[in-house]
Amino acid sequence: MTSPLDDAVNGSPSRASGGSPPGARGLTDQGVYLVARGLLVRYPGTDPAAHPALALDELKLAPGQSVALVGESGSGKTTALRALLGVVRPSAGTVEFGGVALERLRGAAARAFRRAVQPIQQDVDGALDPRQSIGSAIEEGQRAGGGAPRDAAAVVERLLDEVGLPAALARRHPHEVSGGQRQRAVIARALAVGPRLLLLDEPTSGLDATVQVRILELIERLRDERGLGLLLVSHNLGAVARLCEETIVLYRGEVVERGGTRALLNAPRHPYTAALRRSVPEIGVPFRVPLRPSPDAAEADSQTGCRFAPRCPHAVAPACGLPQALLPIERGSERVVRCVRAPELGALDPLA
Amino acid sequence: MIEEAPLLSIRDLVIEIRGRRLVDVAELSVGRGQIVGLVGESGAGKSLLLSSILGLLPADATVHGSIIFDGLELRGAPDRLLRSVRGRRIAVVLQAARAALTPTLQSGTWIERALVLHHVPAPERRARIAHALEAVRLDPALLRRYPHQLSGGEAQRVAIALAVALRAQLILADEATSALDVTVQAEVAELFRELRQTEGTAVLLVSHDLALVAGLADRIDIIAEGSIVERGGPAVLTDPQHSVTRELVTANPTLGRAPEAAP
Repeated sequence: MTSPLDDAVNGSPSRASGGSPPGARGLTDQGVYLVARGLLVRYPGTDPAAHPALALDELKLAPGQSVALVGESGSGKTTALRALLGVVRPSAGTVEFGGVALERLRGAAARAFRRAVQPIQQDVDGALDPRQSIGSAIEEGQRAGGGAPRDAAAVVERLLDEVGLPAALARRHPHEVSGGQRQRAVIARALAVGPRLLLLDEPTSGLDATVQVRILELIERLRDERGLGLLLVSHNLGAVARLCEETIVLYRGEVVERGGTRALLNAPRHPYTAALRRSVPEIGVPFRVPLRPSPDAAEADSQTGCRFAPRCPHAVAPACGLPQALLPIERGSERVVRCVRAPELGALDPLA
Repeated sequence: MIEEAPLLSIRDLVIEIRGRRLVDVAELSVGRGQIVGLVGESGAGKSLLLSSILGLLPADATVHGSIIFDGLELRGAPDRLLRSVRGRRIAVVLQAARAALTPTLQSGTWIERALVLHHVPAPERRARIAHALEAVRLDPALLRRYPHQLSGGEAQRVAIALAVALRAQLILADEATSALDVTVQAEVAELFRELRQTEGTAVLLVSHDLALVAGLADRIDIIAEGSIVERGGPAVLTDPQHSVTRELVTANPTLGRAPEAAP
């Protein structure tokens, strides 16, 4: 049985191309990569006995690579993105840029990091200074990227064109343009800095469906033409299928499944991944409620075993009450799943 | 057989602001216990239409036509009448669930005060709230929480519980599930279907999420530039005739193919 989302997953003709030419500024990609290892984030004031906000063994992101983090609110996906940006400091583990821990970056290396890694935040409206014209915001990005003032006007014009905005928009202020144009302007400003990696947090939420598609097309084009690396935090599985080669599924701070996006969405192995996929309403597929409501956070945190068990249709005692390990679905596979029942359940029907 | 008059019936509704015609709807109705989807992009006129039903249009708007709710003409109705309908017989559930609640009130107090405001006698209030909680499957413990202590889905359930406690006949749901996680969205959507069964509540579901509306609504109206351009059952979405509908279907971010390519 196939569904429209299957087609979105299978039919995407252009995949991220690792061999794309380097960025417009002629930067080499030597050393431009982010690696998180043994990441553990606890927010101050939270119960130290409770589960951490995020536990992530390993995440690598280099130009040309694309990774998605998916999960519900509270799953830790935005926390992961912030840790990679260095704005949330992990309680344990490290994030390294070009082999140096973020907190040890100084001088030129710190500047290189801030140029190479640009965030695109969820709050499109809050991302631009309301008193600053769009052109001047882009110029600011260009200066932050070390560009010369005499090139500023040309850079603004080129970037507006690249993101599909008319040159006249440079003189407008954020409130004078539509939501979709604002998001394009935010992307133009990020590009002005000369990034190699974009960290995107729900880049299309709050936009009209048709506008969402255009923004995704833009991001896809930038990924391919500039060879950018993407980390996409989203609950929009359509966007994930379109943009990312690899997907990490988080549930209450823990990785429950991870692997190539196509295989993961078409043949989920973790019941939560399957439930996420089934939750997406699709035209022509009968409406369904695939999950029991989320238990109270306190209740879920008292779980010693699988955190998803209280909502899982496949949960059995006592196996699911024990701590679950993240294991390859078969020997040597990159695809890993944290579910003791995964081997017997096999590939789950994403539409059932 | 005489057909029962619809619960809400809008005819020849024209809304103009500063000389610009922003809404021009010849006919739109919601039957008792019916779920009707109203789908369109930003600026299509969805919110103006909702505001006109509630009598909450901006002061410089001029309105023509009629908005009949359960036999009452709401257009140009006196404030006293509108107040007795608005929020009580017609409930509103908005996208920003937590913002709809009062930040300084526990959610139980918030519901209670609204019941007082709508003259529900004290002895009845407790029973109505208890019934509403059951209907929306909300843990009574949540009534002691303040909005910031509720998740988006919980806050949405509180807002819907109020509608049930007030015995609203119609819920205007304005992008009520857009800001929620997909899994929570499915729960809230299911709730609308249940309330239709258990309470006979009608819902006008305003959304840009075509696929969600397709799974939920008895009928779907597509609105563009202030007018209904296409109308029908969920089949409208599998065989769209109007270009706007087609664009909306193709643009649906979870869908990978144009409807023409469907088998």
